[in-house]
Amino acid sequence: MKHNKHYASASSLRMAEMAATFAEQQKKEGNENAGTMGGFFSNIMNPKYQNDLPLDREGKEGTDMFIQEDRYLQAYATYFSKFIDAYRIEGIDIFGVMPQNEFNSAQVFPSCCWTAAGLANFIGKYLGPAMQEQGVEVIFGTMERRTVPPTYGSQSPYANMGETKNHGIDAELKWNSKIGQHFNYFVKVNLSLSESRIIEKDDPPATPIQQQDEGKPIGWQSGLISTGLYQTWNAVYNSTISSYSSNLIPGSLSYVDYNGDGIIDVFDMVPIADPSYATKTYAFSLGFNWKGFGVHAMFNGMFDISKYISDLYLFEYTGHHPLGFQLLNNEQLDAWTPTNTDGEHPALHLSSNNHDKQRSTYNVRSSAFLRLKTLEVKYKIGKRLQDKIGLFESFEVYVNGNNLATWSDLPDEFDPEQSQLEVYPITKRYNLGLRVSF
Amino acid sequence: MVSTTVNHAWVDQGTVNPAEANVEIDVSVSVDKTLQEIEGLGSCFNELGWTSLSELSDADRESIMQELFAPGVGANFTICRMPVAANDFSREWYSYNETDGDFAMANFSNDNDRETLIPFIKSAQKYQPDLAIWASPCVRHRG
Repeated sequence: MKHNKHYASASSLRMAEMAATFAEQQKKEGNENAGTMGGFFSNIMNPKYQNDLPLDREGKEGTDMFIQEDRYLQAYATYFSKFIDAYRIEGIDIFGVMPQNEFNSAQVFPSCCWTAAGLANFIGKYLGPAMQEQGVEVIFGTMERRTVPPTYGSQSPYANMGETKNHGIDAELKWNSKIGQHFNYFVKVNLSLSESRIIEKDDPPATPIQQQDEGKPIGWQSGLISTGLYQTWNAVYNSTISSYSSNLIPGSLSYVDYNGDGIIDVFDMVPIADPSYATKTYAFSLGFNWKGFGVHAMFNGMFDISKYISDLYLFEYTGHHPLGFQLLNNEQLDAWTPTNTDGEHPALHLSSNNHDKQRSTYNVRSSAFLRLKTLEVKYKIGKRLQDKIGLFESFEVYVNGNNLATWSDLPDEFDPEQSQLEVYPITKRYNLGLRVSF
Repeated sequence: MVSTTVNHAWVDQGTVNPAEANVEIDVSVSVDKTLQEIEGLGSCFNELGWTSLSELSDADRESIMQELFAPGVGANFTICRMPVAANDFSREWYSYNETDGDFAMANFSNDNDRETLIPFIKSAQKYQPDLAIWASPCVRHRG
C-alpha cells in the first residue's frame, strides 16, 4: 500500500509512534486508508502538518517517539544495513552511522526524539550488532542542548527558558516641622535595594562554577583579576604567559592565573564586579523656608554598581570614528614609565595592545556615586511690599543648578549615572529666574 | 575579498589585511598545546546541494568540486556527512522503503538517491578517492 509519496513517512521508520497517533486520528476522521500498522509506512504526513504540526502531536524531549517494540527496532536496524549495502554497491563506503541526528531535539514539525535508555537499547541490541557485522562504526552523534557551547559554531534558537528571581525593598522617610513661627524645614530620604539571582540556566556542561551564570546575579560581570603592573623585567620573565600578547613589558598589567593552568586566558575570567545597572539607589532632599526665603537641595546616589570603561577612552591607539568625540583620559598622563613606577595607567605603547585591554578589574570599576542633583535658592517678596506695588499676585526670584557636584571613584570626565560611560560628559546647568503671577 | 549585493555580483574588493584585534577575544587557540588531532574537515551532502550544482555548466561545477575536494587545491574536504533519506535539505520527504508492513525491508530501495546524493558523492570521490563518509537520519525542518 503506497500513498502520497511526498508526505510519506519522513525519512524512515523513526516516526512510527507518531504514525500510530496519526493513524488513529485518521481513522477517527474516517480515513480508511490509515494503515493498521500504525502508519508504519503509510501516509502519516498530512501536508497541512508539515509546517504547522498541532501542538499535541509535536515531539517531546525525554520521550521515545519510535515504537520501542522488538520488531520495529529490528526492522530499523535492518534498514540501516540495507542502506550500507545499497551504497556499497554504488562504490560508496559509509564508515559510520549515527542513529539519529540530535536525538533529544523536538521540533514543531515531525521529529524523532529518543530517550537515552531507548537509544541505548536500540544501539546495544539492534543497531550495534548490525553495524558490527557490516564493519561500520556507530557514532553516538550530536545532541542538541537548549543552550549551546561555543563549539557548536552557531546560535541556538531563542526561547523563553531558565528562571530568575528578583526581590527588593523600598523605604521612604519624611519629616516636616517648624521652628518658631517662620522657620519651616523638611527632610525626605528614600532608599531602594534590590537583588537578583539566576536560579536556573542551562550552562554548558564542564563550565567551571566561576563562569556559570546559574547562581549569580543577572548581569554579573566577568573578567580577569589584575594585581597591578609589572615593575621589572624580572617580574615579566617570571610572569604567567599571556594568551593575549607575547610582548609583555614592565608596565603591563599583571593578571591572576585563576585556574592555575600556566596561561592567562579566558578561562581565568571570574566574577569581578557588581552588575552595571542600578540595584541600590538612594536619594535625600532637604530644605527650609524662612519668611520669603527658601533653600531646597536634592541628592541622589547609587552603590554596588560597576561599569566597564571602554578601550576608546582608556587606551592609546584605539580605533575611533573620526566624527565621534573622545573624552580626554587624564590617567594616561600618569602612565607607568621606568621613572614613574607608581603610575596608574599601564605603560604606553606605540600600537594597540591586546593584553591590557582584556576585561579586568582594571577597566571594570565601581561607579558608585553621590550627587548633588539640584539646589535652589529662592526669595519671594513680602506681602506688604507686594501690596504696596499692587501689581503682582506673587513675585519670586530664584537661582538653581543641576548636577552641581558628583562624588565617585570614576575619572571626573564620566557621568556615573549614565548606563554607558562613553557618552557626553556631565553637564552642569544654572538657572536664574523669576516666577511672577498677576 | 569578494562581495555580492543585489545589483553587483562577485565584486572583487581587493585584499583585506588582518588587523590586530582590539576587542575581547572569543577563542584562543593554544598552538603549543595539542589536545586532540583533527582527522579532517568536511561538509554534508544534501539533495538540494546537488540540484543547485546541477544548474551550473559542467565546467563550473567541476571547478567547484575540485576546489572543495581535490587535495591541496582549496577546502581539502576529507570527511563528509550524508543523510539517511530525507533531511532538511532534501527535495521532498522520502524514505528508502514505503511499503506498509515490510519488516524484512524486502522493498528497500535507494533509487531516489541515484538522481542526487549518489552522483554528488561520486563527483566528490573523483577528486578525493579516500573521502570518508558517515550517515545519519535527520528530521526535515521547516523549509
